[in-house]
Amino acid sequence: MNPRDAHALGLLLRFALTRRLRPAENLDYRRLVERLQRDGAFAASFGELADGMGLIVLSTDDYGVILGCRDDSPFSMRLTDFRTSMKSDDRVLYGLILLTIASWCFPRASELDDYGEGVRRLSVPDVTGHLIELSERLAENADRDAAADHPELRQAWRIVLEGAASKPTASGRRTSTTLAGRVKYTLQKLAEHGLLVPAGDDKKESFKTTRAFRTQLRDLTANEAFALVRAASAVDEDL
Amino acid sequence: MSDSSPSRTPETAQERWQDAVTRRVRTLARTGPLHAAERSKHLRDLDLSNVDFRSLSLRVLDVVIEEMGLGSGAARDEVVEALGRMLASNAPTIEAADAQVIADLTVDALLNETHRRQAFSELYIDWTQDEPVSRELLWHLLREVELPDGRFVLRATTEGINVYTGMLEYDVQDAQVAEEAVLHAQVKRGRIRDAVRTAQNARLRSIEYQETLGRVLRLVQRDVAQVSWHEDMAALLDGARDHLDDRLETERQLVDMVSQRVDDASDADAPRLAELIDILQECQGRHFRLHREVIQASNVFLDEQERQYFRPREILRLPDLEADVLAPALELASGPWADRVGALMRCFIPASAQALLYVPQLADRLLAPPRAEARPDTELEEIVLEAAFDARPFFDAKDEAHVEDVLSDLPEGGASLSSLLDRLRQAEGTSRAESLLVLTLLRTFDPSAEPAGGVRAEPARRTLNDLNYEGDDLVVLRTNRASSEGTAAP
Repeated sequence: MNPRDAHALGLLLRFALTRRLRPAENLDYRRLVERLQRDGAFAASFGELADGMGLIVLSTDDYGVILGCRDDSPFSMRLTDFRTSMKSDDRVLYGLILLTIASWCFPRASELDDYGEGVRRLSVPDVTGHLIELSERLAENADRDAAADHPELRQAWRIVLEGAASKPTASGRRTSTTLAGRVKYTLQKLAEHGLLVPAGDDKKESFKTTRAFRTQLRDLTANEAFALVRAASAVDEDL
Repeated sequence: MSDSSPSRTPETAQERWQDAVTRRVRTLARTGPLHAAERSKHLRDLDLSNVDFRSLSLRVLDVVIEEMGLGSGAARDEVVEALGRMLASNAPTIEAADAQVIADLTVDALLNETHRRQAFSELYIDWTQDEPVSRELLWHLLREVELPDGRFVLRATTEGINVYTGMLEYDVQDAQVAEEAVLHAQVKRGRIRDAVRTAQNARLRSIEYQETLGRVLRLVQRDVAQVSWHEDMAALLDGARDHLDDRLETERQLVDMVSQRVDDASDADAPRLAELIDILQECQGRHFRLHREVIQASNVFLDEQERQYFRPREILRLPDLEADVLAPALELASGPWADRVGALMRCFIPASAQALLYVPQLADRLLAPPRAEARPDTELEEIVLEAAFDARPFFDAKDEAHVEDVLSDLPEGGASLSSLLDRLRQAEGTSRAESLLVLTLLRTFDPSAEPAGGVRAEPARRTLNDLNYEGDDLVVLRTNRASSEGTAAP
C-alpha cells in the first residue's frame, strides 16, 4: 500500500459516508467503486479500514457503497440523533414504527430476499393504519390491562393505541405527538439517510424504498431486529 | 442454421396428462391479475363501460418491454401518456384527469399495489406427484426498479413478458429457437409481412432472455454466497453460452438471407425487409452483449467471492419481518423493548458522518458580522461583456466568392464534382474553398434540404476522380427559381 492508495481508500470512505451520493453523479466515486470491484487487494484494504471503524461493507455496486454500523461505531445513529428528549413511550413507539415500515414493505423473507429488487411504495396513512390494525387485533383478544400500575410492563400495542387516539390540532394539522405525526417524522428521517425517496404526492406523505433500504434490511437489520425482539421477550418472561 | 426446428415444444407425445394439466393451470393463473382488474371495474366511481383493463394492461407491458429493449425500462409517465392516447382513441369523452386515474389504476393493478406490491399468489393443485398436492404459485408481472442514477423505471418480469407474448407455456430458450425456425421459413417463402411479425416476437424473446439471464448474473454480484458454482452456475452458463452461440449464428444467417432479397424486393416489401434487418441486428447486438457477459461471468464470480469476503454472511435464515419480528414486538412489555430501541436504530440507519465541533471555526462564525443583504433599491451595475478572443468564421469571404464563381458558371447539362474541384484549383481557390464547395454540394444532396446557391447535387453513379477527396462523384445541376427559393426540394 502506498500513500496514494491510502488517499483513495479515505476518499472512498468519505463518499460512502456522504448521504445520498451516487457513483453516477460523481466521477471519482465511480472510478473508486470500479476499482473496488476489480482490485482484490484494494477491496480487502477497504474492508479492513471499514472494520476498524466499526463499519460493515454491505454492498458495493453501481449504486455505491452501503455501510452498516456495529454497535460501537462512531458513525452509528444514536437515539438523540434520531430525536431529542425521548421518553420511554416515545422510544417504544419509534421502535415499533421502524419495524412496521420494514414489515409493511417486505412482510415475508422471500420478498426481502427477492433479487428482482422491486421498489415498494408506502405512505403515512399506510404505515399508521397497518400498525393500528395489528394492535387492534391484539386488543380484541386481550384481557384488561393488568399492568396499568406498572408502566414498564404494559404491552407495546397498548401504547400504540393510546398514541393513535391523539387528535390533530384545531387547525387539522398533525402534531409530532400523534401516531401519524411520528410515522411521518420517521419516514422523513429515513429519507434523509437515503433509505427512502419522496414519491411526489401533493401532501408529501408518500415515499418509495431505495435499493439501499432493502440492502440494509436484508443484510443487517432483519436478523438483528429478530435477535433484539427475542432478547426482549426473554426479559419479558422473567418479569 | 443449427437446431432449426421447434422440436422442443412443451407437450410431447410422452408427456403425461398430469404434467400437462398442472403446467397449463399455472399458465392460466398467471393471467389472473388482468381479468381481476376488468372484473372489478364496476366497483369504481368512474364510468368505465368503454374501458377494457385487459387491453390497457397489455399496452402497459408493450410500452415497458419496448423501452426495456432500448434501455433500462419505461418511466411511469411515459406509460401513463401512452395509455392516455389509447383511451382518447377509444373513449374520447373521458377527461384528462379521469384518464390519468384509469392509467394509474392499470399500472397499480400490474404492480399489485393493493397488496403492497408483493407477488401475486394463487393456490392450485399439482397433479404431477403420486397424490394431488395443493401448492401456492407466486409471480410478479411488473416491477418498479431504481436505476444507479436514482431514476425509477418500470420493468416487465419474465412472466409479464410471457403474458404479453401469449407464450406462457414455453421455455424462453425453446421459444427463441422455434421463432427463428418460423422466421427462416417465412423469409424463404417470401412471406415478408409475416416474417416481420415473427421477428418482433423474436425480439421480445431476446429481451426476455436478457432479463432471465440478467437476474442470475445480478444475484452473483449481490450475494455470491447464495450461488453454488459447480452445481448451478457452471451448468447454467455453459448452456447459455451454447444457446447464445446458436442464436448469433442463426441471426447472422438470417441477416444474410434477408439482405440478399433486398435488391429484388418489390416496393411494398423493401421497407419491410429493411425493418426485418433492423430487428435482427438489434437482437444480434443484445445477444452479443449477453454472450460477452456470460463469458466474463466466471471472472465476475471469482472477483465477487474475493470482494464479498467482508460482507456479513447470512448464516441464519432471514425472518419474516411481519410474523417473526413485528408481531412479537407488539406484545412485548414496553420496558424491555424501550431499552433495545437504540440498538435497533443503530442497525436500521446506515452509517453517516457526524458533524464535528471545531472550536476556532465556531468562534469565527459566532463573531462574524451579520451577512449584509442587498437593499431592494440598490441599482445593479450592468456588466459589459467582451469577446475573449477573435472568433472568425472558418471560411472567409474570398472562399465564398470562389465557390460562388464556380457554381454560377455551370453548363446547361450540369457538371461533375470532380470537374468543379479542378476548376476551383485552376482559379487558385484554397483548400478551404475546396472544402466549402464539397460541403455545400453535400448539403444539397439531401433531398429534404433546401437548395443552396441555386444548385442541387445528384448521384453520378461513378467514382470521384480527385486527389484530395474519395467516394462517389456527384452531378451538380442548376435548379429553377422556384426550387431555389425552397418551395420544392428535388
